Amino acid sequence: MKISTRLLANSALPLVLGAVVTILLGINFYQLRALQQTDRLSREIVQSAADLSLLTREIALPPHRQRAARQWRIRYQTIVVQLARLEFESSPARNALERLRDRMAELPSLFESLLRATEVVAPVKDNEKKDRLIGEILLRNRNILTDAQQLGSFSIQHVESAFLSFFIAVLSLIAVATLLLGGLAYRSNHKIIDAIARLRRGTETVAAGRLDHHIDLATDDELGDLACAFDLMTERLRATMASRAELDQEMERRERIEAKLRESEALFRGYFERGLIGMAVTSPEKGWIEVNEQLCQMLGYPPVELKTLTWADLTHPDDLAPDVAHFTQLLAGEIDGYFLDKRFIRKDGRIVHTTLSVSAARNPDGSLHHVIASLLDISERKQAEAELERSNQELQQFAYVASHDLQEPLRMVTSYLQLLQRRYQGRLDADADEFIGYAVDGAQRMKTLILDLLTYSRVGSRSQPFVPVAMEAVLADTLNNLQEAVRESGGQVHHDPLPEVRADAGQMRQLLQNLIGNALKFHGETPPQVHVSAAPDPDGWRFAVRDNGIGIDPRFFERIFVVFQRLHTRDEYSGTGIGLAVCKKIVERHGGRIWVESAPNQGAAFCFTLPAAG
Amino acid sequence: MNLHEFSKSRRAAVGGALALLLCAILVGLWWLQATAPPVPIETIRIGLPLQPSSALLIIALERGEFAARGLQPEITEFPSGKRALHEGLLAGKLDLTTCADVPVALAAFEPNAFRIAAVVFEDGNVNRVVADRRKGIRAPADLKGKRIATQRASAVHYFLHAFLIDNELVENDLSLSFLEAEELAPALAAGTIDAFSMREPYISQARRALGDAAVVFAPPMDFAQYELLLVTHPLAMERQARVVRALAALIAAEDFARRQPQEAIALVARRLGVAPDTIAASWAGPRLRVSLRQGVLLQLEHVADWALQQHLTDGEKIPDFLDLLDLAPLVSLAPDRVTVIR
Repeated sequence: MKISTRLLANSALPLVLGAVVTILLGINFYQLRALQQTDRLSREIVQSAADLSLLTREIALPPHRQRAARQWRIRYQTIVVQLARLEFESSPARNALERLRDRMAELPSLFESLLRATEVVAPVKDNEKKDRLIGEILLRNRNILTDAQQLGSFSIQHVESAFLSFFIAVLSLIAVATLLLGGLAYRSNHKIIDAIARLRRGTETVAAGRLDHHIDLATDDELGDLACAFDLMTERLRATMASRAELDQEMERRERIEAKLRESEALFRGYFERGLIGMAVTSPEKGWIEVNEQLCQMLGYPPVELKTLTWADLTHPDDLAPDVAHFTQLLAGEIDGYFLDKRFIRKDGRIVHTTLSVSAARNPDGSLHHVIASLLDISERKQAEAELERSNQELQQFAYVASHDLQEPLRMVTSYLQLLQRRYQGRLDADADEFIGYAVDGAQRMKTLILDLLTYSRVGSRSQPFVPVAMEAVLADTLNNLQEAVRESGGQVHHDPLPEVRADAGQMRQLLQNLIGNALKFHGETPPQVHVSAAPDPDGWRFAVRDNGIGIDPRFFERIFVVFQRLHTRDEYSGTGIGLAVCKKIVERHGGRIWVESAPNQGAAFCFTLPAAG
Repeated sequence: MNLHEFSKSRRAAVGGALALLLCAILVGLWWLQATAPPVPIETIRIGLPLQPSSALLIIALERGEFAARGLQPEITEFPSGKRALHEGLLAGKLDLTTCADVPVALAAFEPNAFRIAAVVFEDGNVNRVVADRRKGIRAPADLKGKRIATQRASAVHYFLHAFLIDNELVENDLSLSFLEAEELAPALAAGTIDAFSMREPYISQARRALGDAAVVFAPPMDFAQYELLLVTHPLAMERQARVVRALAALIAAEDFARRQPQEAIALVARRLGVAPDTIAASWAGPRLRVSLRQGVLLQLEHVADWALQQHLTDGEKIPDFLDLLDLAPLVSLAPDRVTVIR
């Protein structure tokens, strides 16, 4: 509780007490007034009864009779009215009042009798009657007076009772208020003095230089607020003192950062100026901001002249559209950078092939501030690639031509050797037969080699456009072709449902035939079990041709896909060593990849990926 | 301005406002008092009997109590209350006077031309019967057969009646004659009468004249004499406020006499032209009190009955003295002073 609230309560309590006492006093005063009225009426009745007695005596005396009779009647009526106004709550008082009224009701008849008795000069017996009536009236007056006095005493008792109740109520209130005020005052004083002592000690401690001192006065009054303010003050004072040291440290840190920035700037400037790639900083509004020497040399312009040209002026017309498209996306905030191989036109008219890297530097609101463009001159690489392409085409053409053109003389050699063997088998000596046999076998193998080589070369030269191909149908054709091989090997070929892919159907057939054929061929003691499966893959579909054959040592995983590379002798397993090379070439032509998963005697799984149809 | 200064200035402002309010109230009260209409001054014609029973009237006049209450008194002095009643009040020359109960009771047989506003003096120790010892009078019983004079139809006449009854005598037991007041002492000294019934200063005159021969008899124990304040009927009916102010002036005089009896005695003595000792001798006895008691009615009725028996009046029956009392002014002023049963 706040001190002000406590003080207010301390001040208000006496006021409340005063108000309550005033109300009680008012109620008591009202009761006292009513009782006072009753008491006054009672006393008046007493007086009236006495007056009636006096007047009764006066009536007996002739000089006073008429006047006294008048006064008697007036006074009697006064008493009747006074009695009618009297009210009591207690039954004894009510009984006394009723008795008094009854007595009063009896008086008039006696009084009238007395008047009649005094009207004439009375004989002795009438005097006796008069005296008896006077005595009776006086006696009854006496009773009336006694009853009235009793009523008065009831009033006094009520007054005393009311006053006593009031006195007890006020005394109780004062006692309660005194205890309450005393308790409040003691508690307030105790808390305030303790809080002030703590504040004083805290002030002295802080004055002695201990800025980490906290008063921690957990009260909810003004002194608590003062203590909080004091603690806050010391904290800020301490923070101010601490921040001075921190400011020094910050200044040193900033100086170091600035030095590093300068160093970094120099380093960056060095990279920018002396780098091996061309660099430029441009802005949509300001155009060229910075260009480095390498860029100028790359494009053959001095820096000042270069800055007079636009980006489009320098760009090869055929490459302008994709660059503009990318830059539009960059401006729109859709991308923050892009790579692009594009050609620039040098000042001397020659073409420069470059790999352009563009990155955006943006303002806090996301708008483009400037663009950093890096240009790597790849003219030599482009030239080498062109030459390699040409060389490959020439080589492929050579291989095709060679294999195609070699077939005719080889067919002749083979035909004549076979003719020689048929005609002279057994006619010549044994060596001649053996030699002729070797020649026929060599010619036959050469023919096979040439045919395989032709097949390999045709993968690139006689290919068909990609169309949707149902691999289930391709596999069916393949198995139909391999029906004899399956029968001879005693094996089985199973497959899962296969998807449709976008491919060259003939090459797909070639691919599956080579892989399944190998699986049927390279088996151990047990008959081959081949399973073809396909599963979705991020690149499209992932196919697998899994067998239970002899397996492949991982050391040869790469070698097996190279042309004419064999892992076994012809005696062990027939073949030219070109089948997997053809497979690799077919898969790569379709944008996929091929690999093997295997271990010796654990079987092998040849996997390849193909794009999905559509 | 910080919070402390703000609170300080606010307290100062509140204090200043309260001070201004207090000043305004005081000025307003002063203005109301200063501009209150003055009490109008009204003339009141007062008849002053030159006798000690007029003490309250004398003190009030001497101390300006009437003027202090807006009444400008016009004083007419009379040798006695009876003459003030008849020559002044009943003659229409006065508004107010004092008079003893006997003349009042006798005057009440006539149509009511006055009202009794209060009793201003009550004492039974005023009148005396003075006798000549040389005539063989030593005790009241010795008055039997002697010549006794008094003032007819006066208080001392009624006193003599009461004195005789108290001493078991009646008027027929003696030779009664009537003289003027101033004739009584010389007559006694001259021996033409043997005794008289009278009051001061005639008692003292007789004492001086007779010396040791003078015998002064004490009054009856139960005798009382009232000096009544009378007002004219119109004044009582139509200008009751003046009666109230006159009564207030007399009550103030009563208060002064009780608080400062020596000064009161000096005032009365100076006005009556007698030595203060003379007044002081009987000062303790008189009850100078403004009241209206039931006993006044009895006294007046007794006097009226006596007057009828003595044929001192032409009336045939006792007047209704209750109607003659003007109770309202004194009841409004001091109800506890009124014990008349009403």
